[in-house]
Amino acid sequence: MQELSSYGDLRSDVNVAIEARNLTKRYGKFTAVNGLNLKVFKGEFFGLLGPNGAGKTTTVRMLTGLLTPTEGEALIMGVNIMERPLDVKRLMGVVPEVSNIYVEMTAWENLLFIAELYDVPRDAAVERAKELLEVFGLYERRHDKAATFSKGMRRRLAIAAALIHNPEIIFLDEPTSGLDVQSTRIIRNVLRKLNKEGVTIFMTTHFIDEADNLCGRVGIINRGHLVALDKPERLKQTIGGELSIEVSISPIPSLEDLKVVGGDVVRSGDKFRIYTRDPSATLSKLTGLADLKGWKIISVRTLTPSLEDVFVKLTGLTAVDVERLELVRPSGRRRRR
Amino acid sequence: MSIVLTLKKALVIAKKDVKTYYSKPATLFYGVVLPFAMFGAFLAGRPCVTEDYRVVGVTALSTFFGGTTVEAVILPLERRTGTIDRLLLAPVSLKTILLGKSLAGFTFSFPITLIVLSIILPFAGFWNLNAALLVVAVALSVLSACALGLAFSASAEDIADVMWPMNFVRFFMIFFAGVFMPIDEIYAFMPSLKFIAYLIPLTYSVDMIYQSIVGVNNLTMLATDFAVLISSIIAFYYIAYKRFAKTLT
Repeated sequence: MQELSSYGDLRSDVNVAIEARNLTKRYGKFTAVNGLNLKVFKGEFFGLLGPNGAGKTTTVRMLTGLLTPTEGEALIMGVNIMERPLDVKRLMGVVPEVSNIYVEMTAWENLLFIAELYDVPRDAAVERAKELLEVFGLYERRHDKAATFSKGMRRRLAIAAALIHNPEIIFLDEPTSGLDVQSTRIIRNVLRKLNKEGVTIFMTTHFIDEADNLCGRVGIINRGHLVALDKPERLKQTIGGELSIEVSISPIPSLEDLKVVGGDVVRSGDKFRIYTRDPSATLSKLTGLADLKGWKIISVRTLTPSLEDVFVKLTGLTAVDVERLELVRPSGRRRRR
Repeated sequence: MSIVLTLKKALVIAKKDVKTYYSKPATLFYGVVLPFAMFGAFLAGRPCVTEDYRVVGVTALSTFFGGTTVEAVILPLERRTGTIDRLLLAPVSLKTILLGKSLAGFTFSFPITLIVLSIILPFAGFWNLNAALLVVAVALSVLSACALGLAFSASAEDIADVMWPMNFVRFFMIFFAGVFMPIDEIYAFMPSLKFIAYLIPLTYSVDMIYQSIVGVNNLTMLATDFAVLISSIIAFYYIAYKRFAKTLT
């Protein structure tokens, strides 16, 4: 694993909210998660990033006590979840990948039912349910059955249900996957606000821009191995030598035509990204090629490495795979240099 | 967790299940319609069955199908929709969750059976009815059926995955446990197979219900009924717990 900074030097174990010690899950000969060691500190917004099937959900299920590890242990606030599950579960709110609310019940009934499971007193539960439904924009629909809700609304209700008992730690598995813009925005704002209030957040995502924008620290998991762990900016510095040029050309040329300028070329909408270690030289070749072919260069900009680049490098996926697997939202753009 | 808190949480889960799953078509069909349809079909085909056995039969079928069906519907549905994770992630033990599920089955089957009895007994005759014993017999029979349903559905993800094998076992039990006629008549063709009846908990439900309606005529057998039914409840719960726990590994 690429351990780039040691939070352990700065923070004592007393401040560890979530810890994975050699966490391993095997199904027969297949190893879903392999010897994961990880510490998430109190008040941190941590993102576990990885492609589909990397082991993110299995990790969350082990950390939250839904799955028994084959080896290793998961500690929440220093307590092994398998040894004292009921005590630990009171501290956590968990939003699984599937919005597992009761669609036969109303939004209001769902929240009050979960509150009862967590022993939240009735008056406090009613007040909290009202507050959460308002925050998530569901209050007007509180007496409607969840079956009538859209996917985004169900997701918001699932997150509200995980927050009904004011947990100190929240686990979210792909919280915005497949959601509309409005729901995504609401969820991200709520998560930011919760984190500001001191709630520890552990989020898995395969959206690179989401991890980059929300998380203070990111772990990248691939094929069950944690391959990197650090702040997004520091991760980007590790591949600082690799830059790219984003160019828009009219008429749109073929990829083959552009490959002659050297480096990997990826098409993104009406633009192309050309990965290079020497943007200046690549740009000269590009303008020469444009003159030769009679192309008009509409826009051009040089981009610094993004978390996407780190991800590509560490997971072994190509930039094309990242596009194909929709690991970047349409709004996810690399930063202008 | 204290017993009071355990029961409170189990009741919360049961209340939710009642609200959520009682009106499901599978619950109504397998839990209410099918046992009565079977009973009607049997009556039409075997007019020789005596009046007291008709009452015992319909009572036993009602407890047996109702109890097993609710569990076989709830757990696979919860697993398929992922809502079971909601319960597992809450500070509630697996034992409490299973207790809640069986309470949901109990509150479905127990009142239905009592309503059925309150309708048919005035017409059929009360014989030497022991109402208190009948209530206990129905309660134990329903709990045993619920535990059997839990044991079957503990690891299933689809209702059909449970219903097909469970129906096979249920029909086997019904026909070999003396639900429709005395055991001696069933095994008259081969008395050496009579031991099969005594391996089936439903046999003891039938006997207990029978003695509570027509009069207690065999105290030893009644004591055995109690012991076997309570043992079956514990055994089926244990199997359900183990099978469920295995899905978390």
